[in-house]
Amino acid sequence: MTEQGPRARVVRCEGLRKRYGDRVAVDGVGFAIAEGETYGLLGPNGAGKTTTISMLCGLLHPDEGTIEVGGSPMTTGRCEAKAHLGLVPQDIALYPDLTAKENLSFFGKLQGLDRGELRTRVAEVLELVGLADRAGDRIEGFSGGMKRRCNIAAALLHRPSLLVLDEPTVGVDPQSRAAILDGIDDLRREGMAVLYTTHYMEEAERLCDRIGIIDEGRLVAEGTQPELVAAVGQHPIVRLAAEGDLTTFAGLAADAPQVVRAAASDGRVEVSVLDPTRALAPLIESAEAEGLRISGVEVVQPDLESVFLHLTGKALRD
Amino acid sequence: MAGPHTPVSVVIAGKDLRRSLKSRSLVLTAVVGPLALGLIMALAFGGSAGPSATIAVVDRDGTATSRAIVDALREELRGGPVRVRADVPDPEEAVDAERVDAAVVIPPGWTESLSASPEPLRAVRNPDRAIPGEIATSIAGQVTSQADLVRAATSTAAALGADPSGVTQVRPVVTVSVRDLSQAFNAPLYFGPLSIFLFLAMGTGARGLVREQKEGTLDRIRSTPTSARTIVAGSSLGVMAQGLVASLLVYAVSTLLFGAEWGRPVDVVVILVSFVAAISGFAAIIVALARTEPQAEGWNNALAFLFGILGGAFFGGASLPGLLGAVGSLTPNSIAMRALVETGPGGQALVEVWPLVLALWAMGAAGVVLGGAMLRRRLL
Ligand SMILES: Nc1ncnc2c1ncn2[C@@H]1O[C@H](COP(=O)(O)OP(=O)(O)O)[C@@H](O)[C@H]1O
Ligand SMILES: [Mg+2]
Repeated sequence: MTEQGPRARVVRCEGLRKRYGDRVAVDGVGFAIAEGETYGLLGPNGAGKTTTISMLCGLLHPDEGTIEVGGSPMTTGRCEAKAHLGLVPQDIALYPDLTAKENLSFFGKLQGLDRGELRTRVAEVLELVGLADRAGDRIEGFSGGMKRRCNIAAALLHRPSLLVLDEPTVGVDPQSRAAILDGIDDLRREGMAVLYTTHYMEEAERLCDRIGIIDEGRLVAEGTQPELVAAVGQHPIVRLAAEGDLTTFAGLAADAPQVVRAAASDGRVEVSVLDPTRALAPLIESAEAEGLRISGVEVVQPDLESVFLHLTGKALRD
Repeated sequence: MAGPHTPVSVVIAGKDLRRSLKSRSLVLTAVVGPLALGLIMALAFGGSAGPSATIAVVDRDGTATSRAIVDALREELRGGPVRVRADVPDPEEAVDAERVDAAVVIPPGWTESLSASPEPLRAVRNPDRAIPGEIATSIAGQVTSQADLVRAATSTAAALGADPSGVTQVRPVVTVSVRDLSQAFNAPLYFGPLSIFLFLAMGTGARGLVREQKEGTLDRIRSTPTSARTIVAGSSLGVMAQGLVASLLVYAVSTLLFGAEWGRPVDVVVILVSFVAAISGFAAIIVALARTEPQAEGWNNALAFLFGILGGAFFGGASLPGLLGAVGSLTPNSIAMRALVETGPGGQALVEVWPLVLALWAMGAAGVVLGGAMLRRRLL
């Protein structure tokens, strides 16, 4: 009989809350990530992902809640917890007028590397992100994808036990994006805990062991992808692209047989159904009876997008 | 912390200095500007146009020979940068009251002394008017040495049995040229513009943390185990390093290339460092008080020019009359200028001007500590 202990928790946060004036940006968020685990925070723009990360990384003082990284409490000042942390900010946080090597050396020194370690780690990390041959070039001359990769490299120098990435693939070409995702997979295999925020459902599906779905500052669901899909009921979705009074139609459709729920969002109605083959014809009939002009019909098998729709009544991307 | 680590504040300062040197903005603003303006003023001073000095020539001897000297000086210097006045009765009083910039006095009994050992002409100087003072000294020296030449010629003629009356007429040839001026104490011409441009450049440096917050690099710095105190200290140190590099460059280039005269190097460096410290203080307070970066920039640049004008940065450190002059004398620009002038060539030792140096450091320390604390609370 083998006994496998639970993997060590690298980060744990509980009851995080942050308000800006009357607006609650983060409202009671909590989760934990084990070493070697990739945790995805999936939510639309403005959901509170960056605010959550800022509190987690000791950049922003939470109004309420506790944070522990590497077993030590996180604070906004100088603290032990920050030695375990590598942050990849949402926007490129590098000095455009310095070279890749100068940037990495600077941040490496701040992360506490000594001269000897610094030289080898800068070279290794540049190699890792495929920028070894551009080490002496200024960041301002880099393509968007190269800047993104260097932005990630700057967080890896001190081999953090927690890597936090805030939407690292926004505005990146597909090739660089694939390279970034593969790179994160490799790091996870080496035992790094990864916190990855995104509003791209495909990335969360492809990369993350567990996903927390965040909307309007609240964590509305959490689990592996199959767990999340199962939790909301595996209902296929009929998606009608149409013009007309979509909201009224969604209200009517919700009461129809076969239909679990229906929601309108700009230019389309999404209807969760028990069996699309039986539900489709009556839906289209009643839509036409309501005077909608249908321009497209699509049947979607359940995925995170539908989970999000189910949980929040709105589409992840609009 | 021990170990092969450079202190993190020094790492941060080094990064800021490197960026400002790479962008050339520091060199263009705080080095090229003052050097160009200083050189233009030095040249203008030597030519017939531009600022001039009024020098009184006072004849206390009252002989035909001394009157001839006064006339000769007026004629020699006509059309040049120096205006000669022969109608001043009391040179000390006139210089003190700033009716003239300096004076040359022919002492009583001077003609008598010519045959034995010519008594030197005396220059009356105002410490605030260094360059005219230097010119007066130069004129006095030139006349004295020519008189000595005449005496030598006369005694030689007498020894040879010739009639010496033909050589007793002293007819001085006095020249005040650009070359003379450049060898005179002309640090104020360079320090004046430097004091303004340095304030502009150091203000840009002081806004660095606010810019880094906007550009996101401050968040990355803050995600490392670095205290807020260290971040602010590093930034302040960087601002001072930039100011020091710029002022030392102006000092070195004006001395080596333009032949400018600043005084004893150690004194000059100490005064420049103290001035840089004072400006760091003002720049830090401005950044801490302003709500936005453009607002900080506006305030900083306005104060730089205000201090420059009130402190007499233009035209050799001349102070303004009345209340404005009194207020101006409290500016770091004026304090540093006075320290430079007083320790200039032939001037006092640095220890004699310690209150001025101390005042600069007090401004710097108060500003950096207060401004730093406010900025830390706001940004970090
Ligand atoms: N500094 C701030 N001041 C005021 N409101 C803010 C600030 N930062 C974020 N917010 C608000 O908080 C909410 C969450 O923002 P954010 O965490 O950036 O979301 P996300 O990263 O998921 O796009 C948004 O409504 C945003 O407008
Ligand atoms: Mg965000």
